[in-house]
Amino acid sequence: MDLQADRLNNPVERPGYLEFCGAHLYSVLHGASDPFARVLLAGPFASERYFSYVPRVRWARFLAARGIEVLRFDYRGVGESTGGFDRMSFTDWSEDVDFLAGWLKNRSPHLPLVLHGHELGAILASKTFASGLGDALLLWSAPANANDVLRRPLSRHAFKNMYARKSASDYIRDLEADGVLEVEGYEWSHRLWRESFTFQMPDDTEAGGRPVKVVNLEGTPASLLKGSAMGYVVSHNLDLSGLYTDNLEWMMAALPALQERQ
Amino acid sequence: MKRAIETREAIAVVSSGVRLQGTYHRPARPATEEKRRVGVLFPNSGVLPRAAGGDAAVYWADWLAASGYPSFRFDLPGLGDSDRDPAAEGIDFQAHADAGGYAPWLAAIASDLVERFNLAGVIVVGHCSGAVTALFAAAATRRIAGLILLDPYFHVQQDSEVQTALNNWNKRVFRSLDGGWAARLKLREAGVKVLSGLRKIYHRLNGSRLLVRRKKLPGSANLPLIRCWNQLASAGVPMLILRSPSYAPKAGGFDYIDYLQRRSPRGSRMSLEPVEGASHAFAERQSREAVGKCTERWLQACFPIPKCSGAQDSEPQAAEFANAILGTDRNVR
Repeated sequence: MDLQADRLNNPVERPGYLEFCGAHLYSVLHGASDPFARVLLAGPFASERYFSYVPRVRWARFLAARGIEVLRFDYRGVGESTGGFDRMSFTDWSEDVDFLAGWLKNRSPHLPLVLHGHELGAILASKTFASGLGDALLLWSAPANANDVLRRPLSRHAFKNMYARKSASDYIRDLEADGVLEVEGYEWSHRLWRESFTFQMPDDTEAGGRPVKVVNLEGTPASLLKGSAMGYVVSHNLDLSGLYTDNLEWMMAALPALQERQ
Repeated sequence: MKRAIETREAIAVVSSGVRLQGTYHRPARPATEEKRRVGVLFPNSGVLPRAAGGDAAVYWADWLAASGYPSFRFDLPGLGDSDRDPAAEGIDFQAHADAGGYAPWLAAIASDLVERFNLAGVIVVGHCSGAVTALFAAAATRRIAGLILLDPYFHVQQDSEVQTALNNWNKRVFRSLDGGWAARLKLREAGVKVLSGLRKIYHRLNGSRLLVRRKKLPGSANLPLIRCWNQLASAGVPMLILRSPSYAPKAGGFDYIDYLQRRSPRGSRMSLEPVEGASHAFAERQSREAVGKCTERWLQACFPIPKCSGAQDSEPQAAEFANAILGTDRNVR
């Protein structure tokens, strides 16, 4: 698999900004000539974004080279998007996904739309899917709820600051008392923490018969997408071609319109 | 989808057929026709996307743009949104960066920006391996007029066996503690305390070794990089080094910055500022602000924004500050 060739064969890669709720969502549209499906990629939580960024770009290029248009983006207050992270909530980011799924769908309503969520993005994409938007749902490393997502950076924070002799539970107490806790450069609000307990995956029954695939990345090379326990990118040269191919095959098999094309 | 918004614009530089993606932070004050200003360029911090850890580079670029300096953040090949696939090319990032492999790309970006935005030059803000790339690139092009280096290193990366063993052990324990949050809370807290004690013992033992002010470079020194430094110091290129406590010289270790300062020729324009309380990532709010302030102050001293004709000089102390921190007249190269 030559991903550089994928990129050069698909020169239509458009980064830009989409205005939403007073902020600008940085988005990259990986265009495909004569696309036969579209995919929206919803990525991980803010501090986890970096570990899987390049593999996510490669995945988008892989799909675009095979005729599937892809939109990836940064949530409000994160990365290249504008907005204050400290003012955001999981509900706000869920609205980001709703908005972008609608935007992508409206580009060509007759084409099937696949929602793909990774880590926090899995919950967000599932919620959008449960609301009726999207023709198929693909989830990588889906957590049970948003609190599971926050635990990992919080553990890292306690570990990196071990000289402070405070455990993660001490930091949680600080957060509840002070109303704010800075973790790896992001200021978590008390509201975000409280919301994380109740912000969870919707019931399976809400898929309404539409195809859903849940991929557990643990125990595979792709488990490295969550970074090291110390908070570093594990490998810059991660070969995930097997994962990409398997998931593309599932998409092709899952959607009738794609099957015809196949 | 808009390519540009009020304060930012998604821009790209194409070099040797490779598209390098970046973000342009528009300066708050418009440029004057006749007087050009410098721009500020942030390459990647290590392998992170151009926003850097905790989106620190976005914060700094916004800050400097608000101060009047056009600021740019770019992804080097194979990083962030830029082209190239290092996995397919078999490129080891660390070895490639330490050998100056990314420098031609950074130099190409600097040249393109100078031309396109009619800049007097570009100041590169490099962090960690980004600082290494910045030094190599500045030695290759005069378009880079100055450097701000955050935790630069001058050795070829190789792990200390003891540190590696401790880190591996830490990771194993951490992995066993990670997951099953509620059930393992007590175990984790106990683990953190044990590790804290072990680290303390390690650092205390390490600190008891004598601090030797060696005159010779260690065997792991990155000699081509040091040559680049010497070249830039001799040419009087202004350089600001910002150092976190984690990169401060340790007892028994070799202090490259001290060595380079002592060997720098007269007229070199290098200054060092420690950033207290910062981690190596400089991502925390307090250290982000400290870096923003130091950087702005240094830029105003060394590369003041040209004022429109008739404007009053509101900051007469800038020249004095430049002389104080650099020890030279800032107009002399």
